[in-house]
Amino acid sequence: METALQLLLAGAATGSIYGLIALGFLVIHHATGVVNFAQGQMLMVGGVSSYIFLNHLGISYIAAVPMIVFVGIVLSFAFNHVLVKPLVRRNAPIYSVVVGTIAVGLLLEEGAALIVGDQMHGVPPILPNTPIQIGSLTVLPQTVITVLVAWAIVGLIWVFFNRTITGVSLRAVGINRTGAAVSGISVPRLVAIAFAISIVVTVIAGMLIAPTLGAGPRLGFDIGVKAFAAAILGGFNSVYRGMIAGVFIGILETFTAYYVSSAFAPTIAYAVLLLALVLQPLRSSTLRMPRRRRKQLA
Amino acid sequence: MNAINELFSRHVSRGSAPLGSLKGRRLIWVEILLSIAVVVLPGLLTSAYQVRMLENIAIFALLAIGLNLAFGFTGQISLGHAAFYAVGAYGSAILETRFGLPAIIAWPAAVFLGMLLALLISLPVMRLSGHYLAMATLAFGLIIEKLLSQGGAVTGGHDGIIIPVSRVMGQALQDRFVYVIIIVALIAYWLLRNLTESSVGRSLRALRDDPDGAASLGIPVARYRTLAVVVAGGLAALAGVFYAHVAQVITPEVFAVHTSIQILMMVVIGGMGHRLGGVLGAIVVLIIPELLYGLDEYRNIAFGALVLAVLVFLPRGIAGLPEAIGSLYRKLSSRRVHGSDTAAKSMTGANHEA
Repeated sequence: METALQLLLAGAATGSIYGLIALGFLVIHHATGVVNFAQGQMLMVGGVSSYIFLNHLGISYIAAVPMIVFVGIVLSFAFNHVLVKPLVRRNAPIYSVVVGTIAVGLLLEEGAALIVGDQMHGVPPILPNTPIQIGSLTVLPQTVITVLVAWAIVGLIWVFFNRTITGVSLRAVGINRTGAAVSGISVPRLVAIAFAISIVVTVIAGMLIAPTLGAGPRLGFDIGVKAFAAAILGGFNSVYRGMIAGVFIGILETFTAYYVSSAFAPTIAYAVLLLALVLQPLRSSTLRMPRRRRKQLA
Repeated sequence: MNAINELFSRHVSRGSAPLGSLKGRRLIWVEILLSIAVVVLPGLLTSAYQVRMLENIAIFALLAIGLNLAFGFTGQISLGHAAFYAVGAYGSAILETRFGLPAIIAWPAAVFLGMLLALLISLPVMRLSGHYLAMATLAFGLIIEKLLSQGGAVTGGHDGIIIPVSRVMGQALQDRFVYVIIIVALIAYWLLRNLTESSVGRSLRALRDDPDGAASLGIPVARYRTLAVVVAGGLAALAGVFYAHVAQVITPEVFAVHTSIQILMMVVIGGMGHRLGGVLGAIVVLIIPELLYGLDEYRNIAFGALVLAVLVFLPRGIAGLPEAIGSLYRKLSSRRVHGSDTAAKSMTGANHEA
């Protein structure tokens, strides 16, 4: 029982990270129709830059967070202007966008390997690693912080999309681009905002996961695929359902790793992705009754 | 009057259908000559390294022309193509070493397994498209990769399988193996070339661009998609068989997702939906790193930048390079005409008319 609870917590922590990146996938997809295959590598950028800031420059976490956010904004700007805008302007087919984002991921990975070397590095935790005792459970502060921060971010994003005019406009852009433009919404500006939100959230997720997993150039790819599994499982249309799906996949993974085999743990997530994708058309068209706000981001 | 002239001249310059087929007829001689040259090539190479490189290019050309059929012509993106490659390699190796079957049975069986797997995976995945198809195939590739490395005694885990090549296929064949690979790759190229030039190829392109429209014209969309994926899977398995017997040892890392991405990049760089696309892509993607050897650790990053540049500036890949240069030239020259007075413009219009 204790082990199970322990695993549940660990799974919830990594799962929250999956959920955050799923949110990143969702925001970009909603605004532009593009699935960013480099999302995992952007998580890696967050992890590696927090390693550089904390270990090499010796900055504290309080100063590192704004710098990480800045890195995320610069990255989103570059991503939008170098890749997405030229391709969208040319009305390029969807698969060349897929290949383009993969190439961006490759560039990020190799760039990071050049800077910090092709290996994993340890990153200091936010609070010192003294385990907290809750009854018979022992929890690391990092785990608690990861879960809390992740859910706080999701709450903030939910408020943004539902209670601010910019967020509601962004939802409008996702539902009908032309209609939004006609009602006086500046679509390019909002698309830029969507990219910034998505990538900043992902980069922060990288910062949160780095003390647990370490930081290295090959960190992102697998996590990106698992996070996409979470996004699909969450229906790809809701801020918090993707998060719940992420936690579910994280827990499933830790339980498989403990009770079955640690080698097969990632395979479970991939199998969930395959299954969710194959069953997705079924679920959205026949099983679920059409609802008024189904297509909207809520 | 002027407007009509302009309209007419634009119409003439765009209507290139008869010109295209003429070009195609001229291209066939180039293709035949190149095919002969490639068969002779191994005899001219001196170092074993160059022969190995050639074998590698031929193997990846097989993979890339298969993927070009499924992806470039039919629009079925795949990020898990290395899975079929792995089935060919591991299938033939396991049949030969664990079951002691001769090559003549093991190789076709391995190719058949690849096609069977492609058929099985295409059934559920066929309904997906775009990003979802890409992610589903990626997950499929990752699962196969994991199964290979965790296969225990059957696949040899991370150590892989060592194939006693000279015992399996004889010393005489081993010495001439490069010819076998090249000739098979050429046959595959010509078969696929003829397929894509035929009505089937036109149907494939039609269903790529507009599945509903193609279906309304009576094209069996689902069957053709499956056909393209199964042929691509079979070719990939064949490439895997060749790889296993060239390298003599196979490990799961060779068939990882990075290989799938590399094959996809070959198709994109070479030219999606162009008959030369796969071959050109394989040559460029494998030769360029050799040329960039001096760049050392900057090699991979240079490669990623190249892919990105091709995507943004050359959407039709290297095979589309002559056309891109042609259209650029036309654009520049027409800009020059627009800059001069209207008399010159109406004269060019008259020229086009004549």
